[in-house]
Parts: sequence; structure tokens; C-alpha cells
Amino acid sequence: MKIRLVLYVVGFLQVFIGLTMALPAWCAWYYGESTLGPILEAMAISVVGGAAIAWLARSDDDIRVREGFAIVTFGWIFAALFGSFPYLLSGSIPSFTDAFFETLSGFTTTGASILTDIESQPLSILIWRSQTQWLGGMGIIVLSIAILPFLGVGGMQLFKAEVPGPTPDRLKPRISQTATLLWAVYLLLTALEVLLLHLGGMNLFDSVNHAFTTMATGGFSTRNLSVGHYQSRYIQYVIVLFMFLAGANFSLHYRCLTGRGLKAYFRDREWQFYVSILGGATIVVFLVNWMHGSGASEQTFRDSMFQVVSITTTTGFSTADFDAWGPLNRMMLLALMFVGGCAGSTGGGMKVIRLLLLLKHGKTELKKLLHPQAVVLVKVNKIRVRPEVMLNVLGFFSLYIALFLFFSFVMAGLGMDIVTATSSVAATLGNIGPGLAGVGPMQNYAAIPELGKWMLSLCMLLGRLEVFTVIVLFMPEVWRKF
Amino acid sequence: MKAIIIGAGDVGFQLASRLSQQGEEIVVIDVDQTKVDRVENHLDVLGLLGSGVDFRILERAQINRTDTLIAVSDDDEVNILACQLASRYEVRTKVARVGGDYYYGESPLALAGSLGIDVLVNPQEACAQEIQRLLKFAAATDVVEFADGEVVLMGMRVGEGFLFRDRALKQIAGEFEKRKFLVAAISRGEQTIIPHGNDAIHEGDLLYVIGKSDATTDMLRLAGYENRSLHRVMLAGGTAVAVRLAHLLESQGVIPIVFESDRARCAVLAEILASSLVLHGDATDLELLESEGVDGVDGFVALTDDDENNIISSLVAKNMGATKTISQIKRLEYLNLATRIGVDASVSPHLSTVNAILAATHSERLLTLATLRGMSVQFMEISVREGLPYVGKMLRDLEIPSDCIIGSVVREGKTFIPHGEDTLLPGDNVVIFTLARQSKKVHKFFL
Repeated sequence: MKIRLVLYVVGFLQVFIGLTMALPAWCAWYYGESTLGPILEAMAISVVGGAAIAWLARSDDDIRVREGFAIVTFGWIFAALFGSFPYLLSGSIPSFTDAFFETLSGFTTTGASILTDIESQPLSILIWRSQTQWLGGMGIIVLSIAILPFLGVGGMQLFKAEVPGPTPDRLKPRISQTATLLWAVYLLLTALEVLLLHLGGMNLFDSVNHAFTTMATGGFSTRNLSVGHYQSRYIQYVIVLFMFLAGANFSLHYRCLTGRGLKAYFRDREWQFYVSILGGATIVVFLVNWMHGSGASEQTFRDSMFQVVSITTTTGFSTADFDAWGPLNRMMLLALMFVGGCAGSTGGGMKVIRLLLLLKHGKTELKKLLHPQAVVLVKVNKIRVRPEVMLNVLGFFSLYIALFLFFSFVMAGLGMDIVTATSSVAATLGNIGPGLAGVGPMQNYAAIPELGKWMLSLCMLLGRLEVFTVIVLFMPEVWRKF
Repeated sequence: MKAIIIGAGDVGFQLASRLSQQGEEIVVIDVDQTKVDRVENHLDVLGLLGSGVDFRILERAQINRTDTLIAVSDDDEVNILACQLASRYEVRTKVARVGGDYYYGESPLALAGSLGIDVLVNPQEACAQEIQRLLKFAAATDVVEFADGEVVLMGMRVGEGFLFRDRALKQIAGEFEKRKFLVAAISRGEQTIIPHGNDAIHEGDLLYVIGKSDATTDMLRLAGYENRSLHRVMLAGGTAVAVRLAHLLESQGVIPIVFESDRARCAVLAEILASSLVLHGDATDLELLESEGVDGVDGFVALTDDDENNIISSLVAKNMGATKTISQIKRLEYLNLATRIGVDASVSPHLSTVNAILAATHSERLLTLATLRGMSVQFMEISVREGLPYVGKMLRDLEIPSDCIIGSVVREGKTFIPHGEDTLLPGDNVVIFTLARQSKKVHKFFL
């Protein structure tokens, strides 16, 4: 492990994170808020601190596999450290633990908050909060690959470590071009959503914030009641649409926009499965709510659909208190927390493609039991899935479940009831945000004990970087010098 | 520029690596999944699994937006067919590695254009020519020609007879300038440095000298060697490269002795070679070597398919008094090692092919980029464009990246070795010598 090289790139990232604080600083100036000074200080700390780290550790080595893992993991941890300064210095969140939790929850697009009264926060702090999600959504590393071409070959190592899914799609031969295109699609969709929300009567500031956090499948809102604040059918459906788009594979969006049209989606097996899960779950949740006495109104349907899409894509907005729903629907939502978005989306969770592969793998095993001589392959989009990829998916699944159990025990050990403990871990590991009971949509994470917040922070990081990237750093041989 | 490379073996990998370092968009196609994985994991290129003659794969590689197709798979026919397929998609430059000699010379297919291929590279030919150059300059471990042969880069081992041993370069710079060449790099043990004024040259160093081709005799004399003309050459192993080399030597008037351990192959060799002497026997057989007069032979070239065997037989021949030994080595990792343990020069058929292809496909600004000794030193030939910040300034005032040296300049057909007072002008062709790890910075500075 070349630690200098890791620090060098991580330092660069911090300069970059610092520079993006220009937007909240501008907001503070525009709205005449007293947070201007603290945000500029935070910006200076990030830029100067990052530059100092990069300069002290300057290195011209090439990034190899192990450095890739370390750069991504530490890049994210440092981003959350430096990114928490605007909250700390402005006094919005005085406790370091809370500020770190909130920032990491932002960057990992979890959306779990410790703020009780969001609407009392200065606007510049709120935009920073939404902006952390937007940056983390498509990935701060992917963005830096697009902007910093010097990463070169190492860029691929970093890209693989940050982009969700078992095998990242290359849109173009060069990884920096691929990263640029993904960000371009992301930017385009975000701009479109701002426009549509604003047309629906949401003020521009809230439109930008909600577009940032929808496209990132983040779920931070500027309102205490989340999207439920807007009792507009139009706004809620627009947000459902964009949550859905953000949870789909961005390569498909790119292909659709570059001439392949809607065929790009319909022919993709993962997308078909993603739509069936969302559609099926919406219908079941709607029917159960109906029978539960909510009535067969459009409102019931919309609420059911919104919560299902919000939880499955790991966004975490809410328009209804789903914690008050019946036990079957709460169980449904808890299960959907594990699904997540598609590979190559901004969503978290285990990813639709992995579940699809697991199901297909199960089917082939059954077939082999019946026909011991049969040669059966797992195929997706008519192409054979390589055994290495299949094993990787199985490994990911078992680690994910093991981590879920482990952290659930830890949370229960800290005194939480079973529903709160399991759902808080599922909601942070899957980068969703709200869980059930004590961390339900009408609650927040403020009441979690200090140690619990650190544990859940770790869950968020593990979930966003898809477990392996972080866990591999706990292997001693990664740190061996040679 | 966008390029498709077919075949991800050693040659394909090296090509993809060089071209992607230059900033090209590269797609590599191979039928072997492990090879595809290797390029994808080590290089910033896209790898596709499939056949290079499958139009579906080529279309996925966006062949309709590709400038250059380089087919270097192990199969001649696949390479030829891939190029023909590419001509349907209006690919501008098509390069194929074709080893079969029946595709050359009087073959009806060799007539210009009939194959639809712009550049045919014969790996045996490329390697044989490199060996021929090495034989021409007895003291050289590497010989590379630039600017249509006007500039020569030569690597040589500093022997006892070196005139300026143990003296700092700045003390002897005048002597070098007078003779119109300069020291581009010094390789000592595992390290290669681009020297500064305070560095000295010691016995045993591998010296890279760049100069005008008419100064080569001077260069060699300086290092303590008299250039002798070539009379007797021994070739160990009757491979295709050996045949090419034997033909080249025969046309030069040298009569080579070829050792081949397979009797049937010997008969074939005796048939296709005109005046060469073909011997049935192993080149590590001491008695045979001695009786055929290895002592004092001008060149001993080991060309079997076995790297280890080539190194050993070269060492044996050297020990028995051969003036210059050259080993063909396929594994790039061994290239450096062989010359360090006493083989005078080593050639890699893969690198020769790579360099030949790069020279043939150069882009407009970057003419050639080749690598010596595995990966540690690189040289590139660039042509200076208008509007770059360094144009028109005196070289000594430029903040040229460290570990990089400007070896020569060709301006309006005239070649010179630049000094501190010289300037670079638009249209100049410049040879730059650098360490591989600095090449990115050098690129950025000069292009």
C-alpha cells in the first residue's frame, strides 16, 4: 500500500469538496444570512487542508488495486469530515458526532437526519445538506475522474470501487469519458426536475434542493414533513417519476438519449425486473391499505406508490406516515429496503441485478437437481454471466446479510427495540434514511445514542461503497509494504 | 483518434498501453477472456470478448467511428480478414501483423492494395532488421534510427578503453559537442538516469548516446571499441527469424553458420538458404562450437524459441570468445536481466513488432514512441506545432520536466544536436528521451 499516494489523491478530493462550498456560500450571501462567515471558513479549511495534505504527500506513483480501495474509502471519510465544518462552524449542528453523521448521511445519499426542526435551519445550510447528497449520488470519485484526467489507469480501479453493481458498464473506452457522460446525464435529469418542480408551483430554492436529493436517491428535504408538505398531486408524481429514473441504470438513460430510444429500457432484463418489483409492490401495498380502511381513493394509491418507490430506490422521502400502516405493509417496506436501485444508478441497497442473478442461480440449482447431467447457465440479456461474477454476487449477498445481523445485534445491545434496531440498520446499510418505529418517517436519528450513530455511520459507508471496498481494508495484507 | 486493436497478446497489450498513454481511445478485442480481463484491469482501454472478424463485435467497438485498426492476433488470416472487413467501414489506417512469408514478395496478394491493408508488419522481418543493425555496430546493445536514419540512438557498455572514465559530464561536454553527440541516459545496475552535468560515467555503465549517423564511428571509438566489419556470424536455432536474418546477411555478403538441432528442419533450411552453412547440432554443444570456430566469431545470435536456452548459449559463446552475442528473448521481464549478466544485446520479437507498428501508425504530432529495455526508458519523436509556449525560446530558459533530454532536432532536412542556446521552431522534428515514469509529464509539456 502506497499511503502517500492515497493521501495525495484524497487531499485533492478535499480541495474539490471545499470548492463546491461556493454554492452554499453564495446562498448565504444572497439571502443575507449570518452563516456566510462560517461557510467561508469551512471552505478555507477544506481547500487549504486538502491542498496541504496533497502537497505533503505528493507522489507520482500509479494507482493499483489496493490503493484504489483505500482512496475511495478514505476519500469518503475525509469528505464527511471536512464536509461537516459548515454545520459545526455555523452552530447548526454543534455536536461533532451529529455533524459527521449528517454529512456522511448526505454524501452516502442515505438521508437519515438528526435535525428535528429542518425548517428553522438557514437556507445556506439546507442547500449544503442537499448538495452533499447530489455530489455523493453519482459519486465524488466518479466526478473527480471526469475532472482530473491525471488519474489515468488508476481511474478504472477507483471507478470500479465506487460505481454500484457487480460489473460497471463502460460507455466509452476511456474511463474519464465514461465518467463525464454519466455526470452529464445526471446533470441533465437534475435540471429537468428543477424545471418541472418549479412549474408545479414549488419555489425555486426548494425545487433545486428536492431535485438534488431526488436524483441522488438521497431523501433530504427542506421541509419537516418531507415531500408530504406539498399536497400537490403533480409535484408528488413528478418526484415519483424522478426517483424511478434515478434508481434505474444511468447507462440506459445514456443509450436512450443517444438514439436507442425507449427500446434501450424495455430490452434490459434488469430494468424489466425493477419495474415488476415496483409495480407488484405498489399494487400489493395499495390493496392492503385499501382493506385496512384507507379507502380506494387516488390518494391511497398515490401514497402507496410514493412510499414503495421512495423506499425501493432508497430515496427515503415520505408523503405518509408508513410506520402507522398495517404490519404486512410495514414488513413489505422493510423487505424492499434490501432491494435498492439498479446497477449503475444512484440508488443503494443490494441492487436489482444482484437479486435477479440470485434468483436465476437458485433456478439453475433446482434444474441441476432434477437433471444431474444438465449444463445450465445463468444468462442475462442473452449473455452468459461469468462464474466469477456469480460468486462475487453470492459473496456480496452473504456479507450484506451478515453485516445486517451484526449491526442489528449491536443496535439492540445499545437498548433499541427490535424493530428500531433492525430497520435502522437496514435503512442505513441500504442508504435509504427513514426506517420504522423509533427511526420512522415522522421520527429521526437524534435520539440514537452516540455509539449507535457511529455504528450507523459505518453502515452507511459500507452500504454506499458496496461492502467489499471498505471491508477489504481490514485485511492485514492490504497494508503490507512492498 | 480512435483505434481498435485485435489480439490482446503481448504485442496487442504493449500497443494498447503505448497508444492509450498518448491519449488515444482504444478498444481491444480478443477471444480469450483472461487476456481481455488483463488489458481492462491494467490499462485505460475497453476490452471486448469475441472474434476480430465478427462484424457484430467490431460494430460494438464502434468501428464506423474508428481511424485505425491494428490486427495483431496470432493468426495471419484473421488479421488480414479483419483489415478487409475494416475497409468496408472506411477505417483510415489498417495495419496487420502477417508472419507468413508467402504473403510477401511475388505473392499475387502482396501487390499493393489488393489486400486492402495499408501496413503489413512482418514480425520476423522487424526482428531480423533490428539484429542486423545490432551486428553492424559491434559495441551497441541497442540501435534505433530516427528521422529516416539521420539520427542514431545507440546503447553501449562502457569498457576499459573508454577515454573519459570517472569524469563528470560537464568536464567532457566540450569533447562530446565537438563530435556532435550527447549522452541521453546512463543505465547502472537496476537504475536508469537521465544524466546531469555532475554525473560521471563509470566502467560497466550502459550508456545511451544520441547523435548524427555519420558520427557513429566516433561514438563507438569513444566507448573504447573499434568498429570492425562483419565477417563471421553464427545463428543458433533455425527459426523463421533466423531465416530472415540469414537472407539479410547473405545479401550483405556474409555467410552465416546456422545451428539447428532438428534434422528435418535442417533439410528445410538447407533448401531455402542459398549460401549459409547449416549444421545439425545444438548450439550449447561446446565441442561443436569450438570445432566450428566460435572463438573470434564476429556475432553469435541465439534465436531458438526458448528464452533460457538463448541466454545460456549466448553466455557459453561469449565465454568461448565470441565478440558479440545477441539473444532473442520473448519474456519482457528477462530483457534487462540478460544484458546485465553478460549477454551483449537482447532483442524481443514482440517489442520489435510493436515499435515497427508504432512507427507505421504515428499520429501527426507524435511520430514514434518506442521503448527500450522493457519499460524503463522511452523515446519519442514529436513535431513541434505553432503556438506552444516553449516555441521560439532558448532551451536553457525552458523549465523542461526533469529526467528528460532533447536528443536531436531535424529542421528543414538538416539534423543537429541542440544545445542550451538553440530554440525550437514550428515544424521541427524533435527526438526526446525520457524515463517511462516521466512520460506523462513530458507529453503534457511538449504536446
